[in-house]
Amino acid sequence: MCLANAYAEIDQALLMENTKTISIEGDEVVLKDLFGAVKRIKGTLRFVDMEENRVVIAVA
Amino acid sequence: MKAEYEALFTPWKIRDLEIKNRIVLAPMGGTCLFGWMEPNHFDKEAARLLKKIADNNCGLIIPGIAPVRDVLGRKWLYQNKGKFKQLAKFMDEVHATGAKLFVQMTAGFGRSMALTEPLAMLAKNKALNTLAKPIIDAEYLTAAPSPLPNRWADGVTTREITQKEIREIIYAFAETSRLCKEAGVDGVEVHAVHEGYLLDQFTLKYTNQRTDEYGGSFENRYRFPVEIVQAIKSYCGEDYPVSLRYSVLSKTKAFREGAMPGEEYFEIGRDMEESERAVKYLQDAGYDMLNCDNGTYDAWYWAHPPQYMPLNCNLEDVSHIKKFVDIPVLCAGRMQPEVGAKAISDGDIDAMVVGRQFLADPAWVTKLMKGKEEEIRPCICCHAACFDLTRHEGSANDQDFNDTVHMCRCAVNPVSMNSRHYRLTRAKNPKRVAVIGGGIGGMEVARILKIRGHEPEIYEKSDKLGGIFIAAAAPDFKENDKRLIEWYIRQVKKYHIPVHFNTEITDINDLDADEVVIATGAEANHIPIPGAEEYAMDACDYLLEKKKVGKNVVIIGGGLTGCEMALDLFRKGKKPVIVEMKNDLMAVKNLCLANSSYLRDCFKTNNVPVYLESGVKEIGKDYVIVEEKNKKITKLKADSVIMSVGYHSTPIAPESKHVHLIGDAKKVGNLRTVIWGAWDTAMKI
Repeated sequence: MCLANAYAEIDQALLMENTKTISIEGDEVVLKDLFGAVKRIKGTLRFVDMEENRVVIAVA
Repeated sequence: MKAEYEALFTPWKIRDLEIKNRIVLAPMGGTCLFGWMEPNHFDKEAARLLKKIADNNCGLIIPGIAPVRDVLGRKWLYQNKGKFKQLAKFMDEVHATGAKLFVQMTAGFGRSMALTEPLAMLAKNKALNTLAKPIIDAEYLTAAPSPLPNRWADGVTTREITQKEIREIIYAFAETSRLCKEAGVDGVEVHAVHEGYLLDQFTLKYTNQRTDEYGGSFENRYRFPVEIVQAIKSYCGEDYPVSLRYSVLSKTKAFREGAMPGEEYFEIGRDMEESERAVKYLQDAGYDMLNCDNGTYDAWYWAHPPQYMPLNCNLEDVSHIKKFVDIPVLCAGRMQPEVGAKAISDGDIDAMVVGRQFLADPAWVTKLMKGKEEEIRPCICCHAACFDLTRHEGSANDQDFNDTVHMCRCAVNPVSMNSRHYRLTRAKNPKRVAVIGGGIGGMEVARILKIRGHEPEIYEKSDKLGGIFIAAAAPDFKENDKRLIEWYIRQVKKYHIPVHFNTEITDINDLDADEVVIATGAEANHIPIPGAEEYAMDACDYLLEKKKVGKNVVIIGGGLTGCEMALDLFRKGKKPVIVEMKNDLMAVKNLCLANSSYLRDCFKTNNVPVYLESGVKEIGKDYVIVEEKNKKITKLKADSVIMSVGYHSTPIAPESKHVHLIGDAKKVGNLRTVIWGAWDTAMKI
């Protein structure tokens, strides 16, 4: 059970560590971490690597 | 100076060489005069540290291991003659202090070579290794007496070292020793029939299955170190002192598994019976001194004891083998001055060997002599900067490259082996600096600012200095962490730094200061598990005894804090259980394998249940529901539940031109990031 790190596509900035759930709500990608913190990012989910636990989001 | 230390300050001899006192600098990898993990040269930074130690009354200086053949570039130590001229000049400086100096050389690492991922890749891929050979030959670096599993990287088996390579190493020891003698070096030390290094692997049955004259019988297994001392003596003469780094017992139960202090176990390495015979045999072969401890890379906490190991942990075994030889016998391993002095006056050992404490405070011996012990900055055996080789499931050696090439720095003393970067200069225009937070970070930044000529004031919301480190230092085995807090409090008094207790700053604009440093630390994370709010406590609640714990204690989070609490609970007769999400305990960077392997071995030996790749789904009054990797559900008894799942920074204001963040308030780290970060900020203001 490993949780993912989410990065911005262009500058690879770390958006969230220990990401537990990802959901798409309209034009927002909603990230929720292990500790319940929620982050809403305007943009699109680009890529998920299940093995490397890596999520890439194209931030609008 | 206290009378009980007097025995430490009596002279002694190695053959005809007189050493002025009984305190010896332990040879630590990274303090080598010929550089570290780089083409050999005369290393000025190492020389600066060693000179400082010699200036401060250490009797015998032994810089750390110099491979007889460079790891990088593969040159032999006897090549690049220029460095020996610089060494000769340096030896005059050392002798002027009254200290003596031995150069320690290593035959190699064998299976103990700490392969990082890239090196492990080379070691596993013959073609790649051949390509990289001119620069680095991973196959050669890991070559051992027999094909053996590498201690660090899974799937790497060493090749057998050839007799030609053995002879080349023997010649390198002799020729380099001759050049050292010419340069005025007082003696040499052979590394090592100790800690499971290459020579040790030849002497131990579990790592030597050779069928030639270097394997099988006792004499064959010890032939390699014997031929080395004989070759040195033939090149340098009988009376040139040669010491041997020696581990009395291997304390090893299996590959990658060591024995706990006091544990009854079957020794697969060197047991006492063989050790009694070996020390006499090695003495008669020509060795003039034994620089002793215990352990192998599989039982690393004996050779590099964390705070979980008893003080003076190797003294009993080392004192025992002294009876079997006439040559001086030295002892290392969390040695305490008063115990070392007594062992010397009782004739149990001839000198006390100290390493990491010299990195934390190179002047500790001088302070001891002047009766100023409370001014000695204590080493807390954390290895966070001096020995940062990190291994956890699936990673060979998860060490930052920066730490690979710069060992022997110090978490509590940034200057050690980094003196050009961490230099204190007088502040051009003194400023009034408000420091918010009286933890280690706040006290260190205030201390350095005051030394530089600024006027810091500390604002602390509680009535005590120490911050979260008070909780970190709470377990019984953290005596040096407690001493470190006391040292900091004395430093704050010594430098007359005003402290405003019971003063919580919420708006930094209330402060009348030129600069503000925010050192307010971090807060505990919480996983929103059903029942957690009601039944789970934080690590600090347990450590600061804000809440009592029952018999069965479930710890959520197997990081360093979780594991140290489990050890503390176990030693207090409780029944801790650890539940960890990742595939190993302490699966983090910057945590030395010597520390983490003690905890892993201790939990395994003492049947402390550890659930890996598992999560707690529900917490009740006296139970928790655990979901394991294969979705299996288990109900555990839990009189108490401690949630230890890390921290997040809680700065009270963002950084700006005159507002600085340090320590955990900036980025959650360890004592090294806190103290080094405090210097980074204090040097810039």
